[in-house]
Amino acid sequence: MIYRALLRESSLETIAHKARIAGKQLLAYGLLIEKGIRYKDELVVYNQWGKPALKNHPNIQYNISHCENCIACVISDTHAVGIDVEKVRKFNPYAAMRVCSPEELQRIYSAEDSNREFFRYWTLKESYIKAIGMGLSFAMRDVNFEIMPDGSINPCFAGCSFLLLEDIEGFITAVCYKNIGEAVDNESFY
Amino acid sequence: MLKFIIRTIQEFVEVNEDEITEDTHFISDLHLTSYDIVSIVGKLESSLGIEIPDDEIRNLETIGDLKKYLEEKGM
Repeated sequence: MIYRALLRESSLETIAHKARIAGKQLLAYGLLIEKGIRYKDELVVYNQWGKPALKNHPNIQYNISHCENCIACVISDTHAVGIDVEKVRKFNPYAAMRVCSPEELQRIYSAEDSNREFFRYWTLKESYIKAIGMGLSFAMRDVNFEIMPDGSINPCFAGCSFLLLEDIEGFITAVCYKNIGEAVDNESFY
Repeated sequence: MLKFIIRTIQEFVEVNEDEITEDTHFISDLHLTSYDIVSIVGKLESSLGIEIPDDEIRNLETIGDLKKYLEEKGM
């Protein structure tokens, strides 16, 4: 299930700290109501790239993301999951050149809203590398997508499904379900 | 090189130069996001005409790590 929350606006100095705490609280809430797991009682272990997991519940997959005052969390017991939330803002061309394929760059620069188009690709890519648990060690430029007019997402690889949630107070959230065998149900949002 | 690195970072995030040392950690001290890091690395690559492979980014945890890495590349 996917959880999202918005904190009240605060200063940039304090919002990052509050968002990290709130992300853990969102995860704790989800684990309790979905799985009956008390997060504060669980031992958290990390893989070699720093992705956390619950030592005593290896089947539970989760991931947290925050950007400014928006927090997002996904929990699954059937798939590896990754989530990324970003505020749509002026994108950085150096970042775009580093992570996007020539085809994606062409689509970004020809889009009516290039900033929004870039952050669609960025969040999709970030959700994938978070799902596989490798962070920035993975070459994001090799993870390519085509976003169809109907909103469906075609990755250049098999074995994953993606969701792209837009226009939540100007934020975009992408979720990756790795090795999912069927379409993800939009009604599973909380 | 240290001042060049700090100026590059300041193009993307607000940091106080007086509080930065070679021990300053990108994530735990400067709270950089992966987007910030990719933006900074992309700008460094463009400015210096070098390539920083993805699998080497993770080893660059502090300002000092990045300074040493760039110096070893002959910058």
